[in-house]
Amino acid sequence: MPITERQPRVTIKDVALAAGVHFTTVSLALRHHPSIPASTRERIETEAKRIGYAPNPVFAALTHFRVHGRVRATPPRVAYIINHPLEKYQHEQSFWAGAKEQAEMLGYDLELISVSQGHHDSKSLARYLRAQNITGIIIGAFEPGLAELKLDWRDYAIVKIDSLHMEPQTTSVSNDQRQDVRMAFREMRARGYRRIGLAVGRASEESIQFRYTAGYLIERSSIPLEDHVPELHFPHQAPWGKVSELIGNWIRKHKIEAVLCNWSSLGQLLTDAGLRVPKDVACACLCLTGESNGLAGIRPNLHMVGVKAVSLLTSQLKQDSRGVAAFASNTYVRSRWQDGPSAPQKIFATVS
Amino acid sequence: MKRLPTSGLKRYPTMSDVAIAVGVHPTTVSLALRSHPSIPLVTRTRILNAVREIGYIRDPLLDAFNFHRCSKHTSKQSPSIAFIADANSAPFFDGAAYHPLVYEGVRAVADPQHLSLEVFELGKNGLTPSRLNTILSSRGITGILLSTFTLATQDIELDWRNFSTVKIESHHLLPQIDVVSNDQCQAARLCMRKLREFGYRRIGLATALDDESRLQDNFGSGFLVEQADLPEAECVPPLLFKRAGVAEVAARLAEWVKENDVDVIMTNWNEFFREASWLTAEGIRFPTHPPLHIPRDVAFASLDAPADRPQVAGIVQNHRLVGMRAMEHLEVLVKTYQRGAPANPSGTYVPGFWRDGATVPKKTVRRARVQGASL
Repeated sequence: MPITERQPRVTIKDVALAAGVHFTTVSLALRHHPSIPASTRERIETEAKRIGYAPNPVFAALTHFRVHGRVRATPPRVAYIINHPLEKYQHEQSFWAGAKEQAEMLGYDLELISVSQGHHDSKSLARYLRAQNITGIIIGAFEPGLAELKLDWRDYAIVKIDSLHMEPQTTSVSNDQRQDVRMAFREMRARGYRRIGLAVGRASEESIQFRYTAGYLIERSSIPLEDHVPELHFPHQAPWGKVSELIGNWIRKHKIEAVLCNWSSLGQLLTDAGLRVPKDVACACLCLTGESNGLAGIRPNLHMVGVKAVSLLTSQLKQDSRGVAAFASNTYVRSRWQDGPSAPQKIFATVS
Repeated sequence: MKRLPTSGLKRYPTMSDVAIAVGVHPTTVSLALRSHPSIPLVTRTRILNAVREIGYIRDPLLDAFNFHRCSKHTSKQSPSIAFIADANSAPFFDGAAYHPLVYEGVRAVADPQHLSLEVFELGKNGLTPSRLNTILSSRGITGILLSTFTLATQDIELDWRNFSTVKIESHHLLPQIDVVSNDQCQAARLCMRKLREFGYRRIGLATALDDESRLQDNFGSGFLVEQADLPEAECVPPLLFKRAGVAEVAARLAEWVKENDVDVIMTNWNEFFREASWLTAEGIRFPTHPPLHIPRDVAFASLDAPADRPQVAGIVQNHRLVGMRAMEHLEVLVKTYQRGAPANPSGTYVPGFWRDGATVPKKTVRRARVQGASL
């Protein structure tokens, strides 16, 4: 329903009337209070949207002053910058959805900007951000090799999602690779696998500061020496056939019973190496994003990564800290284990 | 808006006063106070300095109006954040229940926002979790910062669903919730790289078993990942010892140094430097058999270099920043009603930095050899 100038402002009481609840319920629901069931909240949100409710900024400022002892400044707009179309990767969409949701929750206006599309080079981007009064930016996972970002970092509060390989070295958020690999290792041990190997690309390890290897080594140090297997790092730019051959030889040479790898095409990689999963070797993927395709492994919560990125950015904006911090923190979000046919319970009867 | 003549009467400074003092338009002052990007940093700094000098504050009339408005509400604002410390943690902090710098950081974020903070020490004066739960709920406290807890406490029986909570350091503590911590993994890695730069080749990590479980094996994993690229001859097995008295730990350490030909000890234990009778002019002397001199016999790098012992080289942890990050994190959770344990908790890690000190002299092996040759 369009609102003309003559109509009085839509308030939460109007929303309450439309949804058939008390207005305090509306207030709680719009702030995602846990006491309001999700179904009620969704109904209220739909009603609020339909009749065009928006929080009254004057009341919001006064209430904020009353509670916190100071008037809230205009919430700054923040930008979420990527260097490829959002549609390209499913995991990117999860980051973005989480970031968007949290920004709305905290009263920020989050704008998606893709620097690979159309007119945005770094210079025009800087002009645009300035014109739009945007001082906070999230650098969404940047794909290496595409458009790069060169801004005067001192002007912005910045949080990066992944992208540890690129400048600026600032506050970042990602899934917790070190704990992920530890979780996968323990799950495989619990299923009876003894010789567990880690196979990851050297390039991807460099971009995450060898966090998979760090987690793997600490787990390996807790098991008997005879079960130790050396980790495999694929060389840079190795083609598919080469990786498949390397992984096959490594598994055969070290009699590996279970492989942990961050490639989602792990199953195919092993098949191409002439190994049957799980008959010859079991495996778990360290980063399941889309369909699992029969793989067991680690399912990261990318939505939460996006949420945390916005939380960190708003804290920085509040403290008015801009530019590259001397001691930037890294935040890692824990993942979950997901069962799958590639990692069944080991059958001990076959061991003579 | 015209101002009344001010002769004799003390009036409040306004933005216009600031503007005149700095030589800019009042709207520039307004923008600068809101950190608008159109105002260059130098101008903003100048304006903020003038604001401080002149003593400009927001319109007191508006403040009074709000005071009036608030006074209609009978309830006084109660503390909104509880800082829960463990009375058993005293051995970690020289007798205090929590790290003073962490607490300082927490206050640095909470105070400017008028978030009131109250410290509760579990285990002190018979404060039990259930009693604390009652206190927190009756005071309407919804935000909790959990300070460092020893392994003796595995979980605290509070009704977590009612609270937004952030843990500081104690990864082991249940439920699994968001943690903010020093980056011990980075500390171990950076320390090791520095020691290699200084010429050390038999670098050993020694830490208490309970520290490692409390800190998610972070020292160990950093140490091992740095060792991964080293030749076998330069890899020392880490020493994980049981928490015990200083003399007992020192004896264990001395034995391990000898067995493994360690040239530098890397540890988060600073207790040795608190033993006054061990201190010598050059460093310290472990009263073991035979005695072990630091740094003469073996160098010593702390993974948590203490501020009051400048002779100790090592990694300085940013405890104050940990407190700040934890409070900022909690603020967002409270604001967005994220209560209870999340499905996917996060860990936020604050890096530390290297500090030189007498306990880690540069290795002069190479030069000594050259001198030997010239003799």
